Amino acid sequence: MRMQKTRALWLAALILLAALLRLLLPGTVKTLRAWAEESLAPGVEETVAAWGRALAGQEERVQALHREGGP
Amino acid sequence: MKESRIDVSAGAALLLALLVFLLTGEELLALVLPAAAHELGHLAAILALGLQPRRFSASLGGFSLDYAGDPGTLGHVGIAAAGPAAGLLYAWAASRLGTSSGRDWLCLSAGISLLLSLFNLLPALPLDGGQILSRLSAAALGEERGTRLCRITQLTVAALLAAAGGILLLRGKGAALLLMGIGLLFGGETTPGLVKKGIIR
Repeated sequence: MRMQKTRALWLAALILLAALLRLLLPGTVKTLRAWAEESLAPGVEETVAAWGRALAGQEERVQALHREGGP
Repeated sequence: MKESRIDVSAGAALLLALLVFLLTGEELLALVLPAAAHELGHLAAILALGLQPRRFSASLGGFSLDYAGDPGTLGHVGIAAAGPAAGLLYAWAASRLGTSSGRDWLCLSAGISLLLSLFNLLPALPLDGGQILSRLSAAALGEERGTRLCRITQLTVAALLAAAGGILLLRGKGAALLLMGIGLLFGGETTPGLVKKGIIR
């Protein structure tokens, strides 16, 4: 797959700039994150992570059932 | 043979930069890996069917993969389903690895992948579920009636999502679901051209 070189360079520069600004403006990052989480989906990160952990939990429960000779 | 291309819209570039600005490295990985697994699933199916991927596009609405060739209805359905299937497989693997190694970001990534895969299975274009429905309904009912069915289903799903999102917003749970519903309401395409062309998201 080919991407135009100029556009790829611009994208790389934009990402580097964003990474640099993140280091230089930690207060702004914290404020924006708090605002974004509050307005878009408060508490969603913990919920989604819990779903992720639950996937493994379900697997362990199924394996425990198999070990006990269950269905 | 036309060379494959990667297109990234200005909106997608700005969104990516914003994510790099706001998220930690682990959070970024937690978000990027499920998307990568999803798209790689589509790509693997395209290649397995002997088709040529033509263009990979990233925009504010998400990613899309354009491919040349016609593998038939079941082939198109298989390609569309491969994305969510790969995402679910990634979710399971990331969950196992995350809980055994104590890496919370992997568990978050697993949850994101689960959510992404299930959301993509909703029967609303341009999601993968909508692609599957459009292919099957076009084959069963003909293009015109199939397109009409897809449009009605899309509007219904989007309206339900937006309504649920509105309720969540009123209860102080944020605007994310409402925005997703509105995005689906106005962002879907059900033109016969899209049903014919090999484009999946």
